[in-house]
Amino acid sequence: MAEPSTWVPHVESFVDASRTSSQHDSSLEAIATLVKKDIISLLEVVREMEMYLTTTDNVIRSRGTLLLGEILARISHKTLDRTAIDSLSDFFISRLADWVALRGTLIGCHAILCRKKEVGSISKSDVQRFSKVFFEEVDVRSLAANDRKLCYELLICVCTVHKEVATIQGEDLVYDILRSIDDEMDPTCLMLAFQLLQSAISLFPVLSDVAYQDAFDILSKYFPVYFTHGDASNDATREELSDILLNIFCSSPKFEPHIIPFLLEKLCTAFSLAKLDSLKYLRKCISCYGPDRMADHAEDLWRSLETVIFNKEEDRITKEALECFETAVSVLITPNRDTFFGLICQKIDPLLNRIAPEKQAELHALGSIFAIISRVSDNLCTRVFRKYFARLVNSLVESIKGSLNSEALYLVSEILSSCRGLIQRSPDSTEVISDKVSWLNILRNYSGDLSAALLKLVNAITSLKEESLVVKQENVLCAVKCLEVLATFPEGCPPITDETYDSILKSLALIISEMDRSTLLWKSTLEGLIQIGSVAENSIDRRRSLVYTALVVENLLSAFVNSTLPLDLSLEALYGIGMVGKHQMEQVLQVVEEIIVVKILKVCLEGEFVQADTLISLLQFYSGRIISWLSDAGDVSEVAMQFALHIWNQMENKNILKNIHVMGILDALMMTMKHLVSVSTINHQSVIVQKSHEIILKSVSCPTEWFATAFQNPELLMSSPSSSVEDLNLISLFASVITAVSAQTPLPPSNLNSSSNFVSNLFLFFFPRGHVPAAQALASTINKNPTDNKAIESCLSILSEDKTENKQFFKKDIITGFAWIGKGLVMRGDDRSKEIIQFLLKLVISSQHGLDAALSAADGFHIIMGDSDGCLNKKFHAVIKPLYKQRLYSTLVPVLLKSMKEANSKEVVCRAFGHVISDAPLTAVIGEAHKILLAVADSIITLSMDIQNKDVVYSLLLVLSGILMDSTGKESIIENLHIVIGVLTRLVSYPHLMLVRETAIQCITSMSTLPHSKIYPVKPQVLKAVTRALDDKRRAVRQEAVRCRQAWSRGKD
Amino acid sequence: MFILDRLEEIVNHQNIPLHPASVPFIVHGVEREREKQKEKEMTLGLINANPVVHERRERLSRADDPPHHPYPHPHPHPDDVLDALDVFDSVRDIRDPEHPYSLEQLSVLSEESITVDEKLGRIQITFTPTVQHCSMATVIGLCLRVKLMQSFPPHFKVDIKVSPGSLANEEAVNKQLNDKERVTAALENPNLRQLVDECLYSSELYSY
Repeated sequence: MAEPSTWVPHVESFVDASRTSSQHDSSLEAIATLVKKDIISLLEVVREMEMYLTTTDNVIRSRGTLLLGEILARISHKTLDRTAIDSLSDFFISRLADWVALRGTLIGCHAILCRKKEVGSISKSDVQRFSKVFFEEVDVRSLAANDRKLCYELLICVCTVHKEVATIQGEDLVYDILRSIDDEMDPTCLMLAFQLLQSAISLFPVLSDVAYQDAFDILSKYFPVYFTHGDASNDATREELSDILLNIFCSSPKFEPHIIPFLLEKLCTAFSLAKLDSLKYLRKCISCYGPDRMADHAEDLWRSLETVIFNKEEDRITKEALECFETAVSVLITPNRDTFFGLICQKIDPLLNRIAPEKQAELHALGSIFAIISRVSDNLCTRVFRKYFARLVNSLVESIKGSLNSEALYLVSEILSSCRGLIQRSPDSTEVISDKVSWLNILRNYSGDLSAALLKLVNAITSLKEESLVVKQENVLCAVKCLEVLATFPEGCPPITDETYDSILKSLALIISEMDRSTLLWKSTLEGLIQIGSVAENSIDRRRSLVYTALVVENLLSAFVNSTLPLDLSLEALYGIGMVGKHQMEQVLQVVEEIIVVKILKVCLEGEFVQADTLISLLQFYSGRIISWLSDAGDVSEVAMQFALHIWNQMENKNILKNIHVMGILDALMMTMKHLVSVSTINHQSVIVQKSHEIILKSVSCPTEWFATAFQNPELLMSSPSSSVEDLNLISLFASVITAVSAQTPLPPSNLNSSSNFVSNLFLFFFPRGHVPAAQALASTINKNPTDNKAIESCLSILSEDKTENKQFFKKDIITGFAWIGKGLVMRGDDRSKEIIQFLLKLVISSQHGLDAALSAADGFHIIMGDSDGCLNKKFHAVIKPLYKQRLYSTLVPVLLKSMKEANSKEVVCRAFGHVISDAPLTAVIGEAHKILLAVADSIITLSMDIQNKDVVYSLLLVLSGILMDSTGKESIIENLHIVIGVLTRLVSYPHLMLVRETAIQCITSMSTLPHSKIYPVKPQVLKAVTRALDDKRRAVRQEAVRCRQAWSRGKD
Repeated sequence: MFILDRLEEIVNHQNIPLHPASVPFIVHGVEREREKQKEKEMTLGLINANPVVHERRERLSRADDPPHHPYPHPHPHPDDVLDALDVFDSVRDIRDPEHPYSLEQLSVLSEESITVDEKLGRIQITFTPTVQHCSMATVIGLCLRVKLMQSFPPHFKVDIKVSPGSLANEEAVNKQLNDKERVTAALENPNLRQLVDECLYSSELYSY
């Protein structure tokens, strides 16, 4: 046991009201720890504190009680003996009357009431005594919010932990609680008050009716829960409060006579929140109270819902009302209760007779009602069919001859889609299928007439002859939807005959192939056909699938071949139809392949260059969409290989080779070839490589022996005659094959020396002649085959030798080629990439081989750091070491920063720097924001002089805005505020690129949120620059400027 | 006195709402709204208590800028020239000083009532107050002027007028609104300034 002198000062410090709150806290913790560790006993503390607990000085007594309460709260896991517990409960219960020291008493009571049995808990008689004294002595409503909160927590504890004691008190407890929470306004306390009431009510299976009435009177005042000051700063959100209030009402069906009329009344107010909440409450209450209790309210409920549904309201209210209606329909209409259905019919019947075309809102409401009733159950759906469907169909069929009854059409379409939903949910419901008067059989009886009428309507839009029937697009849209529904019923229960099915497909396919504009109708018809196709594809019966292929797929393919449709629509339709299944897509693929070959022949042999654009679109469609869909769907390798070989076969024709590069066809063809190779298996890839290798050997005009030796002998390389166009085209195509093969695919060996690689030699020959695809292919080979040292060494040998006198090597294409090779090495983390990087850096910094060479070298960094679609990416099987960009970034940046000052041409260095910064991952850049920010600003200024740097300026600006968005980046911005603002205000009038101006202004706008003390000195400068932008040529910039000006001038003035 | 006399009178009468106690509390929604409305009506009788509210027109979306022109155009982006729709877009959402509706919803303004001459640098706006003796016309005009000053370059000359025959003291109002010194003086009145700012930046519009 510790000496009192060691811990009593803590007590004194806590009781002394003049100390700071942190001192209070630390002394409290100190005592609690001592008690917890059994160094002092609780009894001892109480004994020492006697004076503080009994003094007549209100302040000291309240601090003393608080200390005891707080200590007790902190030792809830420490076992206390019965006498201690009893005397403590005695003490605190007696202190409930002492309102000055109430806070401590409440904390103490809470601590005692919550104690677990194992560590010594309060006796039952004391709990009973507590609740009696509590309600006698404590007037909860007069307390401060914090104390009220404590009281509610206390009472919740009584109602949940000491249920048996609480139950003894009976209804009085509920009344006492109701009295305490009446008029509570604080959201946090209210949340607890609601919880308290909920647990109190749940204690009793049933209370007297008056008690429910009284509880309702108090609770209803809070409906709808609404904060006058917004709910941003509250612990309890509006939704939470609203939900718990709803739960209380749902907890007992005895609330029903009070709450339902109340909610219906609130539904009629103009306050949208009240409407919304009433609907939500009604929905929950209806399903909680059940059909028996709700039966009396059916009429009132329908009247109120009807008003909301049929009047134009906010979207969310209408949506909630319809959901409520659905619940009401499913709960209130039972086989022996018909009132609700009767009420609905009363409303619908007169409306159906005179629905005016201009009352669209009414029609939509009616449509939603029909849709909901028919989707709730088979039984209800059958009733709708019996009562209304025949009537609607008849009036629709009648009206087809004269002026169309579009309202009936709309309603039929709503009913149809609902009942399809029903049958899809339970496709083998025998009751519906076998019962003669079920909705399905009614539908079967009418489907003949109905589909004939609908088909007539749909055909009218595609045939020009029938001018008698003037049709509106939206009606046809509706008809198409109906036909789609009829054709997509599950296969066991088709409502239409096979002949009708065939005519539906024919008519819809006709819309697709005849309408040559992309309208809503065209698009939704395509959607419909895709739906029908997927259902047919998934059914066991193959008949429908076969019919679909014959009538839709082949029809569209022939439309495509005869090009009756614009190309983009045709391709969209083909892709959509192809997505129905693998078989269909393969059919599409085959036709597209044929057309591609035909077009290649037409363009290259017959010189129809106008077809070039079509060919390019076809190639893009083929490789970008069909092949990628098929490769996602499964094995595509065989197909891809066949087509690749087919293309190579065409290349044997010299005349095709001569013209294939015109108008960008070769680029598209190369990309297609890359895709084809990349999706093939290794075996198929090697077949393609072999085939292309043979053709190269056969067709290349310069002697193949050169390839092996030329590179070691640059003089020979330079003196050899330049290659023919055919050779270059062929090499490009071969390069695309090699770029996309995977690392495991064997490459053909050289004829002369089996140890050296034919492929590397070939590309090593063409790359120094400025052939970029060759360089890319070489880079891919080097990237994927680390063992092929010979190729790397040959490349690097040019760099190591002194070639300064030979100007040939500093052409743009060769430097670019080196950059690609460097990229291949860097990506797999090869150290030899250093030599190429150094070569490029030297060119950039010294500019000794002319500005063009230096600029090409600077752009080389973009190649190395950036991502490329065409080669060296994951898709084309490149080897990529993680974080290679970060590594390169951190080696390059210091060098470039240093050389920025001493370089011959600062612009070139800035350009290289710009590429490195903007291609590096943003997180890496932000991490070093403080180091590079000034250089970024400097580069932007330097680069903004020349129009050809506009892209780099834009990407640097994006980096700057990235830094601005980051919290650590912001600090660097604030440190260099004047410089950054200086740069941005200059870019506001950047003449070469609108995006730069717009982004600069956006950056400035977001800077207005920086601390006011920092930004106020630059405010005049900013406002001046932005005011100039109000007069910008482009609208987007002007609007951005208005926003920016507003943000800056509305800052704290 | 240079200051817009009537305006000041109105503003000084109106209770500028102050933020009540900072402790958030809950009150019964509908009743509270009604009380607020009543309070407002008692302190200052609304000049037009029941305005006709028109539906908001669909916002005209302009055709998106083509991403790049294949050939350099002699007149760069002819679509981007400042036009009446630009001006209308910037002022349509200004709130009416009396009601939680926008000027567009109350048909005080329309695109047709605005003319713009880009070459001469002129913008002319004609607006129609909701009632003949609307004393709020001057506040509306002031809001328009402030908004236009903020949104368009200073070299534009802005004329703001009440549409002929729509207001009893039409001439006086027109004179007030286009007198630079009166406008400046009016904006120096803090109460008036606050009212204008509320109209310009308030987002509490009823939306349909």
